Amino acid sequence: MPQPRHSDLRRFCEVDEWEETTKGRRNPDHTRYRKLLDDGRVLRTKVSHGRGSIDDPSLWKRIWREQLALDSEDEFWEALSAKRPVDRSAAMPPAPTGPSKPAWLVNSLIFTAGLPEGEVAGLSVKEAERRWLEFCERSG
Amino acid sequence: MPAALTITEFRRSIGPVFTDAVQRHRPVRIDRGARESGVLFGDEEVLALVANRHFHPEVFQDGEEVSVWLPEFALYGRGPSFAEARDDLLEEVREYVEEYLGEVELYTRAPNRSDHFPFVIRAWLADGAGELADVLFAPPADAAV
Repeated sequence: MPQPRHSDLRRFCEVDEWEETTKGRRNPDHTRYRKLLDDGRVLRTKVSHGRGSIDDPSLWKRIWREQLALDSEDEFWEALSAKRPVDRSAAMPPAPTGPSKPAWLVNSLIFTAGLPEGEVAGLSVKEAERRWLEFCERSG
Repeated sequence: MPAALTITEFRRSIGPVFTDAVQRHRPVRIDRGARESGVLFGDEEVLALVANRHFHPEVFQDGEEVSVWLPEFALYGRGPSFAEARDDLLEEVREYVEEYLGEVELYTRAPNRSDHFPFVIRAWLADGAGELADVLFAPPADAAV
C-alpha cells in the first residue's frame, strides 16, 4: 500500500466533506480540517504544506484509524478513487497498536542524559530503558 | 458543609471571594436562582483534581522524519528532529485546547472527545505556567529520575 502524499490527504478531506478550520488565518503552519459525524464524534486532522508525503507507516496507521476514523486503509484510497465520502456507520475503531518508544524516555535520553538523537533512534525500548537506568545510577 | 453564595452576594464581594478561593484554597459555590450553580476554584485545586491524568506520547522514527503521537488527544507533531517534532506537537496541543475550550459544549458531548476534558484542563493550566512540555513528557511515576 503506498504512503499518501500530503496532497492525497488534502484531497481526501475535500472528497469526504471535511471543514477547513484554518481558512482566513494568516500563515497557518498546517491546514487543519474537522468533520462532525452524525453520531456526535468530532474528527480532526491536519495536512502539512508542500509536496511531501507521510513516510512513516506507524504514524499513517494512527492517522487513518484515529484521526480519519476509518476501518481500513483501503477506505482512504477507495474514497479518493470513487470521489465519494466514506460510510462511517460502523462502530468506532479500536485503538491502534504498533512499535513505538515512550516519548518521555526519548525526551529524557536526549535532553537530560545528553545522548545524540541518532543514537536514541537506533535503540530498542529495552535498550533505551537500560541506558536511562544507567544514566540515573551514574547521576546518583 | 460550606453554604453557597448567591450571585448577588458574589457580585458584592468578588475580591474577598476570589482571595478565599485562590489564596486560602477554599472552593466557593455560587448559585444563581434555584437551577444554576458554579464553583470557583484556585488553579492549585484544579490541578489537584486533574493531577492523575498523565500523557503518554510515543515517538516514531522512520527515514528522515520524527513523529510524536499523543494518544490522549489523537494528535501528532512531525519534524526533521525530535526537538522539532516535539515543538510541533506542543503547538498542536495549544491549538486543540483553544478549540476545545472555545466550543466546549460540542467537544464534551462528542463520544470520542468527552474524556479529553480533564486532559485539556491539565494541558491548559500547564501551558499557562510554562510547563506544557514538562507535563506532556513527564516520566512515569515508576521511572528512575
